[in-house]
Amino acid sequence: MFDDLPISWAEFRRRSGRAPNGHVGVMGELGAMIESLDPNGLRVRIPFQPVMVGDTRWNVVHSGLLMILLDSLCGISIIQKMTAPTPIATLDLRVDYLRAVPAGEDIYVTANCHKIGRNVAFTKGAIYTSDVDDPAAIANGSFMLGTAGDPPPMTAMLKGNA
Amino acid sequence: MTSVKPDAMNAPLGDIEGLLETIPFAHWLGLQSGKDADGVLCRMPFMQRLVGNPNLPALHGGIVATFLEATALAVVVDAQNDPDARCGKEIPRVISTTVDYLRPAGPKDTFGRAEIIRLGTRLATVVATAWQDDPARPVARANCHFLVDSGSKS
Repeated sequence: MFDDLPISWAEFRRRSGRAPNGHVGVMGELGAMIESLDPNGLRVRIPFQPVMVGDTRWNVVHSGLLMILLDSLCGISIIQKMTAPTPIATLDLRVDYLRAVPAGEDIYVTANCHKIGRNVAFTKGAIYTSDVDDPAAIANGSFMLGTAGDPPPMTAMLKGNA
Repeated sequence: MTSVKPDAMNAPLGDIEGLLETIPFAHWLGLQSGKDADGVLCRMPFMQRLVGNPNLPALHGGIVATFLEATALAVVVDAQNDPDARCGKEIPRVISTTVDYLRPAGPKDTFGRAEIIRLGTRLATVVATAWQDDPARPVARANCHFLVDSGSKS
């Protein structure tokens, strides 16, 4: 069902039955493409759109977009270490902006879960464009486990039992 | 944090009005900035595209973070607009933002205020708070650092 990567976030939500009334969530609206979802390499690409600009004089991408991507990917990275599908919610997120992202460049987001406990999971994420060794932003996110709602839609995918 | 009724957002807006609307991504998110008697007040009217999980539904955590950071930015710009302010006067560039999520943010309008902890010649440190129904029950808080003078002469 999900072995045809890359797949758009919106399409993924539709196929997973997670797009009520056609709503695909902000990552879907932003045009996110899931490129890699294996447990060691979670990667999403965001094709640039003009609405993503944060400053028209410097012509750079808005910092908030990077936070949206990092929050999403850090959360999803927890699936790597989940033993059962579990709803999660961000507890805190720290983003350091290392450099600006020039308008027009594709944006990549990666994340990893470093520890999952009974109540809290700890993650790190990064944003880069053309060079994986020149990150534009890095993030630390911690997440509460077993919160209200449903598990992240990618849960089944990573376990290979979709 | 000053107590503000959400309908205060319908009051006339001051200097800072329209600042966030000029930023393409802030405009896409529908962020609004204005001033009332208590200072800068920002608003993020609910839109379906702000939802992270359509099944709950809840606002995306990164959206709430963006709103808090934009609110902090608006407060710094407002302080810089004071001709007597002895601080860096460049457009603030965000260095880092740390967000604490306190309660679920539901599918409704969100309001924000921010407090400048320190505004110096190079750095601004700001704490921003967002709420929905009750200012005393914030949904999230953020601590933001901005560079307000990069030291370049350009």
